[in-house]
Amino acid sequence: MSGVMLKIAVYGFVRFAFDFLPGGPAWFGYLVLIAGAVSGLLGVLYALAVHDLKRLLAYSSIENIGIIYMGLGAALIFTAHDARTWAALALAGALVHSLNHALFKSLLFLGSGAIADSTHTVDLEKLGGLQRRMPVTGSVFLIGCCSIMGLPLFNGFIGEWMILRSFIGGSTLVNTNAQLVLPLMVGVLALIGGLAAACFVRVYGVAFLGRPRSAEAENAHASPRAMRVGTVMLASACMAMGVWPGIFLRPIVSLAQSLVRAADAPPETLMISHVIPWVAAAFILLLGGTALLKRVKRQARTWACGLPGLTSRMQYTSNSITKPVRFVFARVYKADRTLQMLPEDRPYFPASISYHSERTTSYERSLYRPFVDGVMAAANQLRRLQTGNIQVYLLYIVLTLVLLLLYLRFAG
Amino acid sequence: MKIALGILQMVLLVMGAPLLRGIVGRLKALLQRRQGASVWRPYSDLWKLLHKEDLTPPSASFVFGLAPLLVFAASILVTAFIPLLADSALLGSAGDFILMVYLLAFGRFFLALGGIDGGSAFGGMGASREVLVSCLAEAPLLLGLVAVAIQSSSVSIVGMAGWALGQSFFNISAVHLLAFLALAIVALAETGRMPVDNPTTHLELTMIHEGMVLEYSGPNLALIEWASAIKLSAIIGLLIAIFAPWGMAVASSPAGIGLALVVLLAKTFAILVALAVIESAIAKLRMYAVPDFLGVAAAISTLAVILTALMKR
Repeated sequence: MSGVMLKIAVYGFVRFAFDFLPGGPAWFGYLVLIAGAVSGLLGVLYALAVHDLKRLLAYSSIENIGIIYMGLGAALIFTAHDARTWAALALAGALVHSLNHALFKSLLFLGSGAIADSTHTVDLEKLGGLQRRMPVTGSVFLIGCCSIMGLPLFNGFIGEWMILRSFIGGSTLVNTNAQLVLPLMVGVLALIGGLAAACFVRVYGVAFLGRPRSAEAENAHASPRAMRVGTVMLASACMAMGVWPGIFLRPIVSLAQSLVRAADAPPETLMISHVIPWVAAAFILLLGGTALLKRVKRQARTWACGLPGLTSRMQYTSNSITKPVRFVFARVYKADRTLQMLPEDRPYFPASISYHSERTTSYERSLYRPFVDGVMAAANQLRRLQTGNIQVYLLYIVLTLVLLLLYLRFAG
Repeated sequence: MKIALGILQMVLLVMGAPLLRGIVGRLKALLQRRQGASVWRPYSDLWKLLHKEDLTPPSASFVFGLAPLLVFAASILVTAFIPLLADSALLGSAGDFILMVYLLAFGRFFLALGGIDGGSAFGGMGASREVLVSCLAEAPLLLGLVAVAIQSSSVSIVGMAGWALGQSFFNISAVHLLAFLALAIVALAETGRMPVDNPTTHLELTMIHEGMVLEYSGPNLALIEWASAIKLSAIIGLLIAIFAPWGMAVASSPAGIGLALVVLLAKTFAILVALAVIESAIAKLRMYAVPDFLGVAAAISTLAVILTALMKR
């Protein structure tokens, strides 16, 4: 669903902005760029705050669509300033990222489905140690995480790289606004990327590594073969496109060229498709070389500061791993916290403590909520017109007629 | 010739990396009126670790063993981007700085996963702090490099070094100064030095990098330690290449390269002295003061990028 349905909006936007319109004014591009940046940042920050795996992936979709729209906005700005080669690069970057997102997000959703099937929960706080219990699902999930973070040699990198390069290209425009805004967006995209890395370190680390945090995770079993085959296919597509980007870059770039009209092929795409396979080859050689090191292996208990043993509750939980990041960005979350200690007259020796914390998304609270409330209030006021009395309705019709006649008399 | 020079530079960065650590340690010891260990000590440490056995926690998966290899390979690849002796490098003309920064991120991601995989509280703690520092350091790092890239109209480190070589030292622009300040702060954070992280601590409350690698031993630990030494040498090499490349060989004759090597060693030593003084003079920041420290870097690098646009008018 997230793979294809979300892209319909992107498709419609691209058709409308690049096909029907001959490229609008520049402020149009800035609007799209800023909206993309805001939804990218908010999306990833909220993804950091939830511990339901599927909700987390949905928030991360908001982030990725934000990145795609940042690319589209940059393409619109370039088109408005008639820098068509850069526009083609930015647009191709956005399209590549849409394709990549369809692949790795489907992979991650299928992976979380496999987790749900095996453990009957997608709550990160109850997972852990699944890599040893579901080796195939775990490995493909790791590949999906690497892709979504935009690590090199995975497909997510290619799209982000193209968008970043087009932002830097903004400094070559003659317009000062574009020279200022576009290169600064590199910083925003880097921050989004860093936060996404934090988010997916935590997802994979908590769900698949360490010790199981519940009996369900302890008794998890490998998923059936049909479930594994699909994810393995998606994962190998992610890797293949990340290591050999030339195969899919060429059609997408020529598509972008035809959309911006009369654009030269951006030389950057040729460059990346030449460099990446070499880097991959060198990487694999180095890996192979170091793997040849002679070693003696032995199992030993994890260091527990001299205590007899560790329990799984001593591990960092999914909430505690992201706590520092959430602390730094606390102003975005504005969580409602209530702490209640009973009995109240003995604060140092309470019999029971209850703590409740609730987070609503701040854009929902400060942007959508007032708008929806306003519409609802206006509708409530309008209901007064509806009295149910037929004479009143006839009066409305007569009044409308009189008003229209007056309008025609004086305006016509 | 160019390829041979590129390989020589990589070998210098990789094999010389432990020496830099040794020198910093010795300088710090001298500043604190201690005797200090020999500068070759990190090499014998690595040698010792490589001959010990690998201990694996019972709960660990394959990620635990794979992470050190990936971290090591990624940090060696990073050195292929950096010109040292002349304005060329193996991935010099083809690779840009974005790829380099993302390769650094690659290593960090797997190191954090390896830390969590140990199943203890310290690994998660280290990983949690590391991702905070690195996600906040990423933006100023890229923005500082973007400012230099715009100034030199080149996106590769080699191009930036070549451009700076053509400039006069006394004609340095404000963009360069600001970008240098930002990148120097980021470099301290990225390499886990004071005041962001204390590389010599094993105190639970303060450790970041050491927390992640607590469960590693033997060859795995050797690879991780070596990789983080390479990261230090690569970032020092990067700072020298884009902000003070003067002295690099212009013609690639053996004599010219020999001279360039001497100049490079002098510049590296100067940076190491500065690092040792900073580490001895400044106390470690509280964990939640680190974001402010990196925020300063972000603000400075933003200013640098804004200046590049204003200077074109």
